[in-house]
Amino acid sequence: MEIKDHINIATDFSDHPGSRYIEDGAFSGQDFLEKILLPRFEKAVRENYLLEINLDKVYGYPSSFISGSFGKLSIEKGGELLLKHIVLISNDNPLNAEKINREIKNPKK
Amino acid sequence: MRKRTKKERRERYMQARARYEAKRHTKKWKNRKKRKAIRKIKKIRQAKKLPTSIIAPSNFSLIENAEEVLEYFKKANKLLCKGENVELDVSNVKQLTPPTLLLLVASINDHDFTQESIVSGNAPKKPELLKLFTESGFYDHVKTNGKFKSSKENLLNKQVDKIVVSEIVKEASIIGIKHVFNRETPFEPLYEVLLECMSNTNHHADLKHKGKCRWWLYTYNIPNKKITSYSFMDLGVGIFKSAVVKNYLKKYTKGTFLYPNIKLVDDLLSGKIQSRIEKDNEIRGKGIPQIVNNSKRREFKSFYIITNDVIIDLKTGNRKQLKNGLRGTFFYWEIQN
Repeated sequence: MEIKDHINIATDFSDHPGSRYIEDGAFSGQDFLEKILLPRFEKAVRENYLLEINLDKVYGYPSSFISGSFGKLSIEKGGELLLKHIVLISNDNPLNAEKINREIKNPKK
Repeated sequence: MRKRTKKERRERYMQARARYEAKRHTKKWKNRKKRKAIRKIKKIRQAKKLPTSIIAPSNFSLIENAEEVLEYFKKANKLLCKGENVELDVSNVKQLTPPTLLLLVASINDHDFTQESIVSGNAPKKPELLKLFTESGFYDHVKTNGKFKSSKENLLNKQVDKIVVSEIVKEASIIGIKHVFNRETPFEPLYEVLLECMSNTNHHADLKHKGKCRWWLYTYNIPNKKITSYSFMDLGVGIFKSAVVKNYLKKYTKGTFLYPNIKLVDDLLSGKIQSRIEKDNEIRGKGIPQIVNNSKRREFKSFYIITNDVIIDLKTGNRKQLKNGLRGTFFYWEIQN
């Protein structure tokens, strides 16, 4: 499958992600999911291509942000489908990609 | 739009005036005015009362001397609840630390602590403690006659509206990263810990008093040392008090000598304590484990949590039941190179 779309979290969303819900404050996981991740992911599934997500140059990935975006999407769409259409790039800290992959595979506690 | 004539404008004014006059004659209006007047008289009477001075413990360190420091605040709170004015005398303290300073400023600004009474106080005599006091930004949050300039090296934040303000988290992170590592690039574990502390406040907030100040954060660069300390306090009800325990026996004995809070520490640190927020409960509970996990890193010199009547040292895993508890939750840690 070919990579046809890219999301750079630091430049397309924010370099300082927030918490879980929109009502908690700015740059929440829910905000990222609804505005960026979900529409781009659905398009990637529809047109059968890979969506590359760059995780670099961000101040940190709080668990509530990851759970509120990738975790929530994994519950809604299924982890397998997510892993099939998403490629995570994390050159600064490979642990970030690992952390998100773990969340996608196992979003529940 | 057609411009109103002078007569129409006058009519509109008279109608508005009549509505206002009618409102002023209602019982609700009169009672409100009466209550306001009573409050004003009470305030004047309260201000005339001489304060009771209570001397702070010589070692005014919340982490090292938690029991005595918390007892001091409890004593002050008891007097304030009785309607007495209190003077917090910290002039002779030999040791004063950033977390205690945060607890002090948060308490003074908390209506549950002060009630309707007046809290006054003084500053430490010891020069280095006085410097910490004035440069911390403490005076920006209390009424004072003097003018004090807070240092740009430190950051004292109070948050009322939003639970999580990632801009403040970023700013506080950069202050510490610059001081400790001499760079501006992210130190992710620090950012994540700070943000999860804020996020956590929502779980343990006092649900009866929405809109009240939610948390305080104090970032302090220790002079002449490559160490930055972070003190974070939320003014909720505390983690254990808000914990949802399913077992009936545990539920009714929680916090008593039959089932003290200290027994819930392992469940808390592993994220097993259920949040009382029902939404998405199956995917919640990863914030505290992330804090615990990050705190194990070498860069975190120390890490403590005080909530209700328990103090936990995350670096060693030691925990202690306190005689005098804390309303809310306190996180304190230091980062080093």
